[in-house]
Amino acid sequence: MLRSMIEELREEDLKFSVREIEKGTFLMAAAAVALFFLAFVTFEGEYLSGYGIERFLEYAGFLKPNWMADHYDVFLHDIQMLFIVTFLTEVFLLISWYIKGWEL
Amino acid sequence: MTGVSSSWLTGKGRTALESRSKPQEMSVILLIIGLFLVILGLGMMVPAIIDAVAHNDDWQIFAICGAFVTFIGGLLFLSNRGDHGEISIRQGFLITVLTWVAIPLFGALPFVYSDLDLSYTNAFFEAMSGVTTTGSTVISGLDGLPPGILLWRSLLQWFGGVGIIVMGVAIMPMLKVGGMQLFKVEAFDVSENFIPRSAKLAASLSFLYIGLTLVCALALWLAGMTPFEAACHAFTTLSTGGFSTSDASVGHFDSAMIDYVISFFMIMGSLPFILYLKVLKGHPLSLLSDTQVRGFLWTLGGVIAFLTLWLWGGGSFDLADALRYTTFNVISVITGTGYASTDYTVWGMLSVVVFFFIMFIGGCAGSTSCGIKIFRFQIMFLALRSEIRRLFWPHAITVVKYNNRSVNNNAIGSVFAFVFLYLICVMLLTGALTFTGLDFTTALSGAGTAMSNVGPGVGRMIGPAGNFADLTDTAKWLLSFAMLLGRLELFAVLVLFSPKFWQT
Repeated sequence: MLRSMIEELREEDLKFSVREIEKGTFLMAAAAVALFFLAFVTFEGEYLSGYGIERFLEYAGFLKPNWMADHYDVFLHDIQMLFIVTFLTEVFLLISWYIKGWEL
Repeated sequence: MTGVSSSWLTGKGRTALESRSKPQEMSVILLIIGLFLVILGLGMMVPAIIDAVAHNDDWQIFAICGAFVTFIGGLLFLSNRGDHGEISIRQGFLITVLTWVAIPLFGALPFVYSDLDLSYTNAFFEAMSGVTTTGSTVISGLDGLPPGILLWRSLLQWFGGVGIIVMGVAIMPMLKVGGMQLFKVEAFDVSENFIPRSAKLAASLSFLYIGLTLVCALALWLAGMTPFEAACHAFTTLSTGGFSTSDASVGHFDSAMIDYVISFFMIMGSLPFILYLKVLKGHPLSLLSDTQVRGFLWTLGGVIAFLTLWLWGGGSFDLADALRYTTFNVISVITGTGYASTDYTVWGMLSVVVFFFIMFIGGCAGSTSCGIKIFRFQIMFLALRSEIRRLFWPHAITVVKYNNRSVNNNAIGSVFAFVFLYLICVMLLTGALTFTGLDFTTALSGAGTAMSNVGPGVGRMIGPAGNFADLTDTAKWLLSFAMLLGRLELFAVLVLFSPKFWQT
């Protein structure tokens, strides 16, 4: 069983490219760093803009002053849900752009 | 594809490597292992930072181990740099196996030198269980452990998860291991014109994997976990690994929302990642129209429905709780994740039997899950149906079709050989474990859970409420080997023991 498998593979004479393995590893590590950075920036951006909107709504009288102190959990949940939607969209666009023109 | 050498796997022209000497052959193997060790060493800096922030002294252990592993990896990488060009099949197998051994060998160091003070056997078992995404553990008292150690266990599984996806898409189909040739991606077919470079394909798969991990972490945070717990569980959910931050596993949180979020992402981790790319390419029905995915989802649905009704009928649970517990635990065991939200072995003998058998099923090829895998059951079923038809119509020409493509006899033979060998290995391992003093149930379920990379076994000692600490050192080394064997689809490891493999 193993012998026939080895012989079959030898006959096909497949070879791995060292350069491509190195490149793949570096690209995967770079993808991890880039995506974590993107997630951090997206979350912080949404948090800060959400905080800005909350302050504006307080200032405009739509929310009670110091609304955040009593409703931080609600605020955080909103930001988390918003993040999931925006980050998924970002990843979708990023990968779609990256694999444009590929045949899978 | 701009040229043959731009793919990980290239063809034609064997002369250059045939004449290579043994040291030259080893040089490229050490180069690749060095590269992965550098990544592993840098990865150790993450728990070092977390422990430093938490004012835990273990940060020094992670920093020193990280520097050491990076140094060794860098040494191997730089001293073996050169114009290597291509790697032969023999080197390919050696790199695959040695990398999966080298990573736990070095990844175990923080477990030895941290406050855990594990023996090297225990540390290696834990690291191998992590990297192979098994989830069996020898550590108890997880709830009181420093964050660095908990994060390192999770990261090991996460690294293992992405490694197995790339291997499952790029390498295994080419090595024709156990019928995996059925999932050969056109990206690696050098005759096509519009095909992505394999390194880029690996990067795009990582994008997906990391993106889903981050979304899973946020969803778990949203569901009630702390950000740290959410991150650790996201790492081990997408990788279908199953390490938790608590001895009670996910049962610690006692939250239906958390159970369902994790269940969803365990399924996501068990589907072929290449199909996600197809969905993003504008084929939204790629996932649901895939035979393997449909078979997997039907299997999950069937087992969950059966156990839910049985549990509900028993009267101990209301329907909602029965559905919640069976959904979570069945998905966890079938996908090979190994989380537990409750001790399902106390539900009754029927549940023990069902959970024992479903641990062998596994998820889909090209995912992070292990086990025999659903496509092999489907191929065997189709081949058996074809054989039975031939009995009725001896002169009929029968073609086994899978995913609208005909399957040749070689692939069918590979599948049957794989399953046969899988069962032989489980039997031999059970026998060997029995010799170390384990009772038959523990030995059999231990062998099964290690080979299928599930995590918990069956029985008091290694069941969902137990752990592997009380096993003898011999048993732990045997199980570590079994985890590797199962993760690399048997043949990739066993081929090294064939004299034919070493003949030039």
